[in-house]
Order: sequence, then structure tokens, then C-alpha cells
Amino acid sequence: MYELINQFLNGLSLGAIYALIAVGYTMVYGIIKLINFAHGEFMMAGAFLGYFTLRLLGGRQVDPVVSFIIALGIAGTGAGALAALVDLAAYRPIRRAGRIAALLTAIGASLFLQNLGIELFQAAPRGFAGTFVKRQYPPPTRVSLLEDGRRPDPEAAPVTLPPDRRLTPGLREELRARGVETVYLTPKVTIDSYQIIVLAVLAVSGLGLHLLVNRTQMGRAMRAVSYDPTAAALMGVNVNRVISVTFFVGAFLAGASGVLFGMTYNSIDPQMGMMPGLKAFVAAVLGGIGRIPGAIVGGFLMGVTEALVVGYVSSSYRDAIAFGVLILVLLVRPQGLLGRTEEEKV
Amino acid sequence: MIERLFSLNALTSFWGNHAVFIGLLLILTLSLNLINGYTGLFSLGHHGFWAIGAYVGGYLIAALRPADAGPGLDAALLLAGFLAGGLAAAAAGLLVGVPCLRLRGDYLAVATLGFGEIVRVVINNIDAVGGPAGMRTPYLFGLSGRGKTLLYLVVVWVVVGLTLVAIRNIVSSYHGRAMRSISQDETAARLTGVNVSAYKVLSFVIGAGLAGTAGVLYGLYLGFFTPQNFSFMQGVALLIMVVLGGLGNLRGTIVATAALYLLPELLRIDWIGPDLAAGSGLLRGLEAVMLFVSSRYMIFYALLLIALMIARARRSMRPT
Repeated sequence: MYELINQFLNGLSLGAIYALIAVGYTMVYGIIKLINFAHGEFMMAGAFLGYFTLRLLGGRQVDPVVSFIIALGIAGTGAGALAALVDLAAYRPIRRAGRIAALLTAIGASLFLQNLGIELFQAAPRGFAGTFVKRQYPPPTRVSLLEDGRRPDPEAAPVTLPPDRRLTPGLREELRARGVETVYLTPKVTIDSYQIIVLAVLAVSGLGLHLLVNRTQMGRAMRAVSYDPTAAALMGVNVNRVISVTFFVGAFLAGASGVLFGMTYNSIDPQMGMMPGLKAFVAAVLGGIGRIPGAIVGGFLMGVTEALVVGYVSSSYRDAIAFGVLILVLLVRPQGLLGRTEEEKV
Repeated sequence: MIERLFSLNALTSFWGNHAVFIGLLLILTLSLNLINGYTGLFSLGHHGFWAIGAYVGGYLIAALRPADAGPGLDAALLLAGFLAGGLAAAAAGLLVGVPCLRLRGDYLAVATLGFGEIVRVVINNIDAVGGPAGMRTPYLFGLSGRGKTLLYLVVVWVVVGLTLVAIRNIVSSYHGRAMRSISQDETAARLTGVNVSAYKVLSFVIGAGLAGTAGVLYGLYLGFFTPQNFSFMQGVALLIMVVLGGLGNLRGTIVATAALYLLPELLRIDWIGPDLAAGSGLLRGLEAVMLFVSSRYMIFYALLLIALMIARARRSMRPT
């Protein structure tokens, strides 16, 4: 049972990363009906920006929390600027050229950024220097096997028991006979500091996004363009600017999630954006594309499903499951969980 | 340099090899054009059908062929594998086509993309066909090297011819008009009595079956292949050829397929090699440019793709 809960927690933090990427997908799709295949590459760009920022700050005496926030900010801003640039150079000229052209251009942009990444950073994965020490919560309980009055041996190595092993009297004697003096008992349900950070970043971004979309002039313009771009333009909304801002905000979150992804898996490479990008897209469709809360729900569902499949079925099917879920959702409820159906106009 | 390119040796091995691949790609793009172009179903999963054909045909031939097979048996096996691969892919087309009837546009594209990825992951997990390590196919008729190239050159181009005739006959028949009416306006087609669902599935089944036959020949010609040979990018490359050639335009598809296949091959330096280096300053400059471009081939390919899409959009928006 505790294993299930742990897998569920792993799934939640993975899902939070998918959710951060999916939000950008869903915003862009909601506004210009484009499946932005390059979105995963904005996450990759963010991961590398974060990597270099952290390396630069690593040598100096900067508080880890501050340097982490700086890295998130630089990763997000850089990825956002890149996205606005890609929109300007590649997507704007084909805005009215049809779906297939738009999708292929997006795939072209994705390929370009991936291979530019390989050219600039080499294809081999790099370790990602995290700023925080990974801690388990609750921490393991320390049990001393030392009998009263005996002097501790500084050479004796502590033993950590896996969560399903109990310290039975027999085991206690056995360990004592081997000269073990300290035993750490792993709690059955744990959450680590990285998972908490990921969930916290998602909570803050979700709140910020909610305020941006619902409480600001720009948010109102976004909703107007998403509802009807022509009517919005006639009402004086600068549609192209709204689209640029949407790309920026969506890619900002993707870039920040790149740092979180690198921190969680301790590995980044120029092609890292591909699979999380596709899965985030599935999450956006799952939640109802164009709906921001839907993207977050969808991200969590994808993350938890994936963690459970990896934990209980086989990790070699982890990428197939995303597409299986996608096809199932499209067949059963194509508008997504939180989506609304649109009537067909003739 | 000229002699080297057009010597008998070059004609059979260098160009022969490329001609086989162009032929195989043509079967794939022509059949994809039936689905994407004529019927207007936005499919991104053609590489899945291609893979199914290659694996089913290749496995069948490898499993049934005794080590001392004579030419008669090999010919029978080639035909049997060809048909089995095509039928298996067509069955997969039916399997994908029926549920996808409910989907349109981008959603259909993403669902078929998902199908292609699932095929790849499933093959990766089947040990009988080698999983990620790949599969070997036997040398039919004991041929290898130039003889093999010539054999497949003939077989592939016969299949290309048959494919072209079949698709042309379909699209210019009553059934083809029904398919084209779906791509133009589905609702109007339905209102005029076209059985939209049946024709959508039919075009999926035919397109998939043809892609499967291309897969069988591809697998046999390569002799060794892995699931990576049928990646998502391969599916995208096929779609790019079809879109640039023109949706619902067979002649354009042929030109675009050959051009987009040859472009990166021409950029490769190894077939000109030392002749250029010994040449004049201009040639040496050309070589340097080609070397620069070919070593960063994917970046330029992506840029070219975006540029072609923008040019295409400009052209279609120009007032006529």
C-alpha cells in the first residue's frame, strides 16, 4: 500500500512538470489553433540556460534559494524570448496557410532548435548541478544498537533498511554481531525536497497565470483573441502582440520546467524536450485543449499514470502509455475532461 | 568526376542504390497522398504501417526460408512475404481507420502519430523480431551487393508502377471522386449521398496496405533494420514530401519525393571527394560550403522546411 502512495507522489511531481509544459501548449492552441511542436524545445532551452546560470553562480557565495530562483527566472525569460522570436520568424508568416502547413512548420522549428542545441551543446547528456541537497521527508529515524556504556567505534558504518524491512529482535542481533552500531529506518511514505519544490513552483505559476488571465488587461485581450480573433482585432486588440505575449508566457513556464526536469533527473541533453513535450501535449488534450485548468489536471493524470505503469507494469512501456491514453481520450471524449463541445458550423 | 558518376559501376551501385530508395519512398508518399491528399485525412502515422509491413514480411520470410532454398522457393517466399506484409499493414489500417472516424484535423494527426509511436514501442518489446537490437532478413536468391541492388531495382520499380496505376485509377473513378469530395467538404459529401465513413476507412486500408508492401521490400533490401528506421521523423519526412509536392497531386509528389531524397545525398561530400580538393579555388570554396552544410545537415533541412512552408503560404495567398 505504501508503495502505491509513493508511486502516486512520484507521479504527482512528474505530473507537475508535465502540467507546466502543458499550460503553454494549451494557451498557444487556444489562441491560434497551432500544435506548437517546438514547445518541448523551449523547455530544453530553459534547462540549458538554467544549467549555465547555476554553473556561473555556483562558484560564488550565493544563497542556494536565491540562485535557484535566479536560474528559474533566466531560464523562463530566455525560453520565452526564444518562443516569441520563433513565432515572429516562422509562425506569423504561415498563420493563414492551413493546419498541415502550420503543423509542419512547427515540426521544422522543433527540429531546428533540437539540432541547433546539438551543435551548440553537443548531443551527450550532462549532469545538472542542483542547488539543493535532496532530502527525504520525513527523514529516516536513527536507531542506536550500542549497548549502554560501550564506546562507539568511529569506523562502524551505519546501515539503512529499506522501507519494507522491520528491525526485528533477530535482525537486531544479527546486525550487532556484524559490528553495526547505527541503523536508519526508512519511513514508508516519503516525499523528497525536489518533489516539494516542483509542486511549489507549479502552485505559484498556476496562481500567477490565473491572475494574469483573469485580472489584467492583457488577460482579457488573450481571452478575446481566443474567442474570436477577427472580432478582437476590430475592437482594437493588437492581435499579434497578444499572440507574442502568449508564446512568451507559455514558454516561460516551459523553460522553468526545464530547470525542474534537469534537477529531478540530473541529466539534460538537446533532445530532452521531445518526449516530455509530446506527453504534455497529450496532457493538454486530456484536460481539454485551450483550457488552462484542464492542462494542469491532465498533467497530473499523465504523471500519475506514467508513474504507476513504470512502477507496476514495465518501464519500457512508459512512452507508449502516453499515446495509449491519448487515443483512448480522443475516442471516448475528444473534447477532453474539462473541455466544452463545439457545434459544427455548416 | 563526370566519368566516375556515370561509369557502369556508378550506374549500378551508386545510382542504383538511390533509385531503389527513391522507388520505396515513392510507394510510401503516393499511398500517403491517397490518405492525406485525396481523402483529406491528416495522418502522421504512415511510418507505423511501413514498419508493420517490414517486420511481418521480414519475419515470415526469415522464419519459413530453409538455408538451402532454391530460386523457385525464394520467388514464392518473396511474393508471400510481400502479400503478407501488405495485408498485415492493411489490417492495421482498418484497425486505425475505424476508431479514427470520429476524429478530425489536428486530433486525427495526433492520434495517428500516437499509433506510429505505439507500433515502435511494441516492436521494441517483441524479442522474436530482435526488439531494439533489430532484425536480419535473408539474402533471397543468394544475391548480395550489385546483384541484390539490381534485383530490388526491378522489383521496387515494378511495384511503384503498379502503385501509380492503382492510385490513378482509384482517384479518377467514382470512388476517387467520393474521396475527393470528402476532403473538400465532408458535410456536403454526406448530404449528396457519399458514404463518408466507408470511404475514409477504405482510403486508410489501401494507403496502409501499400505502405506495408514498401516496408517488406525496404526490410529485404536493407537486410538489417531496427525500430529506429521507422521513427516519427521518418513519418514526418514522408508527409513533408507529400505536402510540398501538392496534396492530391501525384506528379508533384513524385518530383518532391525524388528532390527531397536527393537533396541531402547531393550535399554529401563523399561522392565527389578528392576531385574537388584538387580543383581550382572556386571548387575548393564550394567544397568548404558543402562540407559546412552537410555536417550540419539537420539544421539546414529544418530551416529549408520552414522556408518552403512560408514560400508556399505566400504563393497560396497571392491574389489570382
